[in-house]
Amino acid sequence: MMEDPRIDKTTTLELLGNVLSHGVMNKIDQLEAVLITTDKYLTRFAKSQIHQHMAERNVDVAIRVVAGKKLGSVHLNSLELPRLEGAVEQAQKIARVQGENLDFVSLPSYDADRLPPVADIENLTYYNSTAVHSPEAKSNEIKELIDLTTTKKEEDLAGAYLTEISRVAIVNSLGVEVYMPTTLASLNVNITGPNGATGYAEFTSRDVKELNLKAVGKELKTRCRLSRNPKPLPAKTYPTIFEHYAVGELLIYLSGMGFSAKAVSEGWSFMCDKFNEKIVSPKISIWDDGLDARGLPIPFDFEGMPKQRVDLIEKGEAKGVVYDSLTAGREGKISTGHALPAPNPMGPQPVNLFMNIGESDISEMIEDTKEGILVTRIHYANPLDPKQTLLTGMTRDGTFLIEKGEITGAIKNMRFTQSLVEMLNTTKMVGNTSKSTRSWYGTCSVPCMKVGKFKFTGTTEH
Amino acid sequence: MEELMREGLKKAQELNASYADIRWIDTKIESIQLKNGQVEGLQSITDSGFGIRVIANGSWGFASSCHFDRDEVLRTADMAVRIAKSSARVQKHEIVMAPQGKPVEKKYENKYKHDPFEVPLEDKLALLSDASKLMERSDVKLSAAFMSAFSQHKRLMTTEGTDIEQTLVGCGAGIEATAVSSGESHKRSYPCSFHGNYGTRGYEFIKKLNLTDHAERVGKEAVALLDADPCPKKTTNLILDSSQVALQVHESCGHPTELDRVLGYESSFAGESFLTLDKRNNFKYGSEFVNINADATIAGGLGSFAFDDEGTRAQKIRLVSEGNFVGYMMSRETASTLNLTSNGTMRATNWNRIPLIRMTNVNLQPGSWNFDELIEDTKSGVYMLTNRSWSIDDKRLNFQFGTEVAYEVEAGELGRMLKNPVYSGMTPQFWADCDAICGKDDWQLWGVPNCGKGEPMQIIGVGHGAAPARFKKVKVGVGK
Repeated sequence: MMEDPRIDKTTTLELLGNVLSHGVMNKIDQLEAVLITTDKYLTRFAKSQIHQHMAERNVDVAIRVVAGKKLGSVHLNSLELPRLEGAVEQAQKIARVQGENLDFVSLPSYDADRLPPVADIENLTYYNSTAVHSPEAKSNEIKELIDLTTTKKEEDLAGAYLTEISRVAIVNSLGVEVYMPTTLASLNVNITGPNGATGYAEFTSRDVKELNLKAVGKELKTRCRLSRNPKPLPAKTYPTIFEHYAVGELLIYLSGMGFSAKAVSEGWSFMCDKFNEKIVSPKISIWDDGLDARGLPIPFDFEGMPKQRVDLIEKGEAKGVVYDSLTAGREGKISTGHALPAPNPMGPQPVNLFMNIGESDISEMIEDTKEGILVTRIHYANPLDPKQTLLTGMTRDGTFLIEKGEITGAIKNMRFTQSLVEMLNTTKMVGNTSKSTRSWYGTCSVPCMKVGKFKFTGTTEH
Repeated sequence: MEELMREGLKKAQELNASYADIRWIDTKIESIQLKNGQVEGLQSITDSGFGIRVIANGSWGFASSCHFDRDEVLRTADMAVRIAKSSARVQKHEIVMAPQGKPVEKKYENKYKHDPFEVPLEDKLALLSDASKLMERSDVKLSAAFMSAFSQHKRLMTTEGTDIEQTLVGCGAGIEATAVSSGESHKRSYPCSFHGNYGTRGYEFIKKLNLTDHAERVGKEAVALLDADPCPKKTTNLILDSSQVALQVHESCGHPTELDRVLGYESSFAGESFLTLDKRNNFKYGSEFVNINADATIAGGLGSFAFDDEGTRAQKIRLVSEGNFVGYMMSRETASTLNLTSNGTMRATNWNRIPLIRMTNVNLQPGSWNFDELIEDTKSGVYMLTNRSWSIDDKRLNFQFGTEVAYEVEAGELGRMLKNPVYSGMTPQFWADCDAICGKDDWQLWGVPNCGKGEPMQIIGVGHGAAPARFKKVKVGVGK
């Protein structure tokens, strides 16, 4: 792969320093500048051939100006200083025309004590192996995976293989100055075969060298073989086992329904008025840890604040939520380092989520089940009521019937409508391995799990 | 600019690309979000760059960059061809593009009265602030108001000689109130969900929404939902308001008639389609009253334009005719698989994304009913309004939608308010049970700003014209 040669650490910080100087000249109360450069390479394939193959080089500069308690934001994708200076002035104008945001206290100050050393940051987030991985190498790997999994030429693969290099620099007029190079490699693959067979596998890491094509191929083939000739099953409540991918997706939706301080302050989080109370099974702990390399580590947030580990649910009890400077300032707290790029109507979000592992192997979960369902993956879920964590969605890419401790066949995809908190309250077993799955704005590292009750409300034709 | 773009095309041809196009795009967006009367987000975005798409060794390649200078244009062209050649190693069939006719050289700008970027920010903030205040009630925990405007100027040049410049300007706005009690929360929105209604129109479109005329009602209805009865679980007649019919069309007709989905291009991510190739002109999609088209030529629609991003002229396409499934939305590549020509639906959200088949304005044609007569004609049923949740399976068959509010219909009259309304069904059966569609007076063109597709995800605006409609034997109130 090739990186944008126009911008390295020195030139980036120098450029942003000039932007800050322009703010000082214009007597701006507070100023923040965030620069993200990206070189992204995405290869999509379907019907076992590459059909979309893309490279993108982009920059994004976000300028945030504070005038008293008024904020203005301007985004542009330019590295030209005169344009960036113009953006500062435009953000200043935008800030001035609005009323005061009474919740706003201040942009964050530099917090060197809580930031990991620079060398540690690079070790956590950047892998040269990913940075130099070429489009040709990715095409060859996709070919290898197709050859590994479609031996009888009856199956087809579809998926996407992404490699990406980013450089993030954040400065503000209160002394924040942080810089981070990152790499990302991710692969998602869906397999389809004769008689309705299907399967799915996924890989995410900052280091592309960790991709084990043989393991991915084996996982796809196993699930594809098991999922032939799916039969319809009546919709009702079943004990249900979830593979890592399904747990990851359910956790992301749970997170979106309440792990943000903003959701709590606005009253629609399921965590409201529940702190230090048992809300789910004591078998469950959930936390966010930006420095844990088992997920996608990111040492600071988009305000340059160091990431703090936040226990969200500990042994079944509601413990905490994540903060950015706005939500923390409103409550007189310190940001936990979970700001997204400003302006951010979503509020702070956990982006490197973890669920604890347990002691059970998935085969033990199956053996433990008289009648139940095994779900590989969730499709197109959507919350019906965040406060009740009520979610609906479909299963896909391998849904199976378990009878008398064995998988007895594939079943057609089913619709569920279920409160996730109520589901977690019926947790029976937690898997003893963890896997990272990608979400829209981060990752979550989760085990498989078995719950006693999961409500299916419909079925479909495939 | 023209010279640099031509150099990019020339470079691609020198590297043996059999086809190349280059798109340069300059975008401006202004978005405002107020929450409880305070500005929560107010930002201006400017963005520009170019993308080069090529066919080399029979495969696609695409590369893009925000740095529009000679060296970068040449590097990007080289990368596009390099990528295409590497794709060819994993290729069963060479790409074939359906013929497009004579190259087009045109300039186009959509028509509007008042440029939304010329309206002072102070005026926009005042309008949203006034609407927010009118929604406030003791149980309204959140009152929110939204407005955004966009302008996109783009130029497309191809090695076939096409050279098209288009400028599309648009805007929209909306309000919502959320009432919260200890155990539940309920939202009411106006004029629809997804932060309001949007179109390729000027600021006159926002003025016509009359946000302040509806704000008080929106606040009151959100509070009333806290004490409303839950929607009962039963199979009954379902009447949907125009905006929810629009969402139903979007999910259950728009997406499944995208030919790239049918051919499996999106199977690993968004899924495929039940409207397989054997069903074209050979499948009963709905009742005789159901006529659906995709019309990019309607003035002011969020899915309106003059040419798509392959240079194909905007068209009106029949998808469902008197209940029969008759056509797909197609690109040049996918149309060639059916020995047809593109019907102009290829759009990319920006310079750094490849064009995909996207809905234009996918419209359910008006029927003959008057809304009041439709209610009077319904002995028993539920009337649901304003989308709250949506979910549909990966072939677009099994769906479940929730709306913000519903009203009981008994003996031809609207009755008590119902909360948490949800309905579910299977697409062809649902549309086969459509027995009444309201007429032109109740038909409205909605702009949905958040249609997602592809990897990387491309969020684009699409339009849907719809009128209230009635469906028989629908399962409602499921899930609780």
